[in-house]
Amino acid sequence: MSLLSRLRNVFRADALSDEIEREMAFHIDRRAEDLVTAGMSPGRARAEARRRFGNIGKHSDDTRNTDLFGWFATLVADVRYALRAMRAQPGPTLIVGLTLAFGLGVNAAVLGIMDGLLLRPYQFRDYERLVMLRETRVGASENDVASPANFLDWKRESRGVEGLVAWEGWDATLSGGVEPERLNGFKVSPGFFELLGVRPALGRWFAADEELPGNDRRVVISDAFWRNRFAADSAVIGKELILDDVAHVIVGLAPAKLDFPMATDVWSPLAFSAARANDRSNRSLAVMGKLAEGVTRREAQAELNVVARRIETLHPATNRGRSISISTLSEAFIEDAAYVVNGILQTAAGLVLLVACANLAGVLLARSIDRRRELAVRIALGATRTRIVRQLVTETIVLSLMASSVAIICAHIALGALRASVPADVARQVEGFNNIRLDWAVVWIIPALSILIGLLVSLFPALTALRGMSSSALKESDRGTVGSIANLRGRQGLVVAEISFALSILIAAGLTLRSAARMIDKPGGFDADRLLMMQTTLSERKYREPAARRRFAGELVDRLEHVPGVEAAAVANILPANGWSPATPVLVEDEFVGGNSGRGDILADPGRWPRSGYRSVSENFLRTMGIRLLSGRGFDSADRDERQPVAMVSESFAKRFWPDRSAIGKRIRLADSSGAWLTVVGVVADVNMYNWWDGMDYTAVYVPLRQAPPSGVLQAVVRARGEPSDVITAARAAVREVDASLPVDQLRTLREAVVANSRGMNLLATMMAVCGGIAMLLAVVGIYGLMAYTIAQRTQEFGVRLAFGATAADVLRLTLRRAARLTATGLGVGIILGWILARAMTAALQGVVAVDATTFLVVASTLAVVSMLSAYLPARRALRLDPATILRQ
Amino acid sequence: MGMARNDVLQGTLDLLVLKAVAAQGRTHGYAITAHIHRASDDLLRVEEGSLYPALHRMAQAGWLKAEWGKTETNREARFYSITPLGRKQLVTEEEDWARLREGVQRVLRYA
Repeated sequence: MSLLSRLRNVFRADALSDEIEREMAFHIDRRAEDLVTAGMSPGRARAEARRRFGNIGKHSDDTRNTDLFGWFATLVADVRYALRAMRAQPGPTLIVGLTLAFGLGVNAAVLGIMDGLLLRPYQFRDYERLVMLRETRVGASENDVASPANFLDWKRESRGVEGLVAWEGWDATLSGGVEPERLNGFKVSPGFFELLGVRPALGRWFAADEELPGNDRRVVISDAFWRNRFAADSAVIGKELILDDVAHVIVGLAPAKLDFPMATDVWSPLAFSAARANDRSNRSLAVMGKLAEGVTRREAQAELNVVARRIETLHPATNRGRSISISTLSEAFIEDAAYVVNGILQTAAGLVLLVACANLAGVLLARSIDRRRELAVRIALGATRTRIVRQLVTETIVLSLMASSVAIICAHIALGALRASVPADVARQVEGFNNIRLDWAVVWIIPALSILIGLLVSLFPALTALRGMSSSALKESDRGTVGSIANLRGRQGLVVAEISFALSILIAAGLTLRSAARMIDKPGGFDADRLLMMQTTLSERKYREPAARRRFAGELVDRLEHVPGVEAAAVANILPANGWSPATPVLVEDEFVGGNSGRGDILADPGRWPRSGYRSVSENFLRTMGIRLLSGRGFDSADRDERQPVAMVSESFAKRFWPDRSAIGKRIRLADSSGAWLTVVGVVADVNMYNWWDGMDYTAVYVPLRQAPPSGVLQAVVRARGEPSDVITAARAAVREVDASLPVDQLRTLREAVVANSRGMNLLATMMAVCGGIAMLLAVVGIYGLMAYTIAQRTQEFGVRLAFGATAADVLRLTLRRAARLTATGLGVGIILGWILARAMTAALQGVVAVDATTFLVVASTLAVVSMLSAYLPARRALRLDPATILRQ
Repeated sequence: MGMARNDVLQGTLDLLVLKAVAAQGRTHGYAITAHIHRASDDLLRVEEGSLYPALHRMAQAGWLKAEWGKTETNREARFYSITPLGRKQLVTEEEDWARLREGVQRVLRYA
């Protein structure tokens, strides 16, 4: 009976009973017929036939159990035999089991990470139906956000996507406490929380009429904020928060699991003034909705295309070429880097598993030689070959299943440690980080994988063990047995595989580690020593006018420079290592003059300009930060708005747009420079912004803060004469003296900021190092085991060679030459694999990971030494014996 | 019936059933009991309670092939036939039985 029909039996036990009863009824009928033929009356014959048959119910049950569990009984017997075999050789079993457990454990952990970060980063009701609607334009590189009037039209007209809500970020300043404080807020349409399908932990969500201006002084607070600010006081509902100088009533508390869109302190209703409700040109809204029941994404997209065309026809000036595109939450929010990181980890984990499998296969191959006599005995006693192969395969699967349970437990612990190693406020910044865990939805893959591995890895050794086996194997002595050629080839192949897999992981791990170390140790374009930074948020009401912002910045720099112990001070819209790099569309005059096609079109359409990093900095920024000026001049106090507007560009920018000419004197235009051409006056060194997850782009334009004072967030930096932490208090006071209503945060040394912003990269490097370490360990065990075994098998041959006059040195040389050939092949393959892996990583993490020969060299030579020692040590031991003793053994 | 006296010796059931199926070609359970009964000159009787589990077990082991079919009188019955694997098994069982009988006889003769 095939496995399939057995399984079918299990699933259709009722039909099975029916069949058995029919079979038995036939038996009784035939007996009755025969009795009638023999002269019995039909009635008596039936009764007699039944009596002779005995207890039908019991017989039928017995038969049924045979069908259902007969094969199971064989399995149980095989498993028990397997356990006995393991107990007989606890040492090797433990080593192989642990090897496999490591390999599977690494994969289980990576699966857990992938589950949290990529597969199910959010846990909302009907998560699959939630979609983001993005306002996009062909050929334009914008942020895909929508204008208020467009959002309102979509909301009114869309049927396929329901419950549309919008939100935008809100840098709220909380006052009324000892110090003003900046909160991470979001303005959200009422219906936002309902769409996500969450209930408030306390209080209520926003009512529909709270999106009216004046009616919107309400907030929902997050669990984290509630715990920090209100010490988890359950009487918090109805209390007031002064946000941006206006009292807001707390109406609700969000549950701990809700931290959407990201790291939120407070949510407040998004209310449009009449003017804003009609605004189609200022785009700032993220829009989310839910696919209506039964509507596919394609159908909804078709409907939205119609909506977009209609709006375009009605409002061509603002909506030409604009369409609405649907994306899932994952597509919209999961950083590309998350996929890259996962890809890297998954590859590394897969390679570790391959090394573990090679180890397992090596041990099985070796053991299959040792077990030839045992198997020969069993065959002589009548076991079929199929039975024996099944037995050997079962043995391996039992082992690999045990390994998979150990693996899952270890991975569970490791992921717990991973979560614990990242501070809560950092974890909040990574979508799905808190969802990293082992869940059966993905973890089932591990035992399934272990069964598959057990099957694949054990089949070959089991077959080679049986090959050419006859009863003569019983008589065969162990002396001189090296196993079949297939077995030897198999083991040599495994050595090559182990070396090459291990080498490629180690190369990848080495490159990641070096890259992470370089990020932290090498300042990357500036001098990170003795720098202290802080951040403030200019309120919209008070600092709407550029003049007010300019005045604030000027006064702040002035105060900071007068603090004792401060060497220099500057302000900027953004400093390096703050997790973000604002960018702007830039038009280079030469380029667009050169390509004169559609000149007017491009000039009027910043959406099609190339993008570059954008820094608005005060005059002494270069000096304070220690950024080198490569040519031209820096900004000075003469660069005021009334004069000719100027800019500096980074080296990468200059190289990209003027590869063979000087950038000085060239003109560029920015999307928001209101049509003015900026003259490039200086070229500065590239600065590493440390947002490695975006891929590193060093192109940057610097404009004088006096000419373009940033709104919202403003960062200040001071270079101390001594310890930067000594001037913390004075720096904070300087802001207060200029404007006591402004919040100050991110007060830390730039070194601390660099470390914090490299944390993800560091974590990746740590995980790669763990993978590399495990791979190395497994490979050392495996290579040594295989080499030593092969040499042990050859001891006899050594004895013959020595007896015929070869010197120990000759034999040693011969052995080492063989080992060297295998090692060299392994290293060759490994370097190719590693190089492919390295290329993939440098492509994925542009500018972060660099291929360097040192890593290749160090890693390859380490493995070469390990491999050669694995051959040398056992060979030398074997050769110390007296040849006569060897031969007599 | 269930009289232990002429119950088939544990372990020889497989041999008898395989032999019966091999001799009869394609056959059903009742015919197997009848065959064994007749061929042993009424000395051996196979218990139905052991026969059917044994038939199903041997079908699982791949020694017998089982399928539903029609009898000469056009009745539905489950038919068994021996497989090549079953023939091998039969040879083994016959050898085992011969050894066992030989051994037991020697013991009886000389002990």
